[in-house]
Amino acid sequence: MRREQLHVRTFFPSFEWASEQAPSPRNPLRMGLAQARVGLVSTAGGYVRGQPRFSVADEGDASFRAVAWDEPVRFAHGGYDTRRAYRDPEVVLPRRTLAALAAEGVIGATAPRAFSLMGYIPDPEPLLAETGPRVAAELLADAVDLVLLVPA
Amino acid sequence: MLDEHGLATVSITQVREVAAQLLPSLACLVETPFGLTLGAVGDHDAHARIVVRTLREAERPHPPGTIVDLGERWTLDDERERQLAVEDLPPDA
Repeated sequence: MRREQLHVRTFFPSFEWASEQAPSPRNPLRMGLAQARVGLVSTAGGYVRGQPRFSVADEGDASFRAVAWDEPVRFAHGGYDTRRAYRDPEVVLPRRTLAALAAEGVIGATAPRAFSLMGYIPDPEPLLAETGPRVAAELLADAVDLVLLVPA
Repeated sequence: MLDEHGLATVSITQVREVAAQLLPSLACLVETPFGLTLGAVGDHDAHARIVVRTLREAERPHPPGTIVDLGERWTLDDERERQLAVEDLPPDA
């Protein structure tokens, strides 16, 4: 943990890690994977044309973007080198991978859209109070059975 | 964050200690560099393998807070080590 903390602190001196006392509750997957509609949430800072890019300033950015499954994606994130993600978005936003798994019958279907956040969020309060509930509501509206969360 | 709203989730994590501190409901550990979470650019077999193995864990009855080590290790170069290298950081970090 110390190494990870120091790595991030080099780029963002004001960052403080959140710490939970108990794990998040676990909701069981109520069907087999081959029947499940799978949603995707990535913290890679992905956004598409017409959407505002994520702020990479010290104060972070707790907003989110809904990203269509087949739309070219851009990335803004201060905590990793985004050049590889531009070359192959699948490394952090596996939309084609999940679509292929749906076509093969490994999963039942993909959600109609993916969601992206920018993972550098020094103050978790807006994330927990506003962004999290809003993203959850969107995923529930999309009738998602299982959410895959992918960091960058 | 999403589990409290009734959603079933499974997370990928790249650093065990981070997952142990944030305590997601179910995490799968892959030791890849930041920015290459699912593997190298163009390595779609690796991307699919990690995604499938992660999703499969969601079918299993793990207790909340479980971290499953998928055994996926980055071997192409030392980028991950360099990203996490304390000795490369400034002394006041």
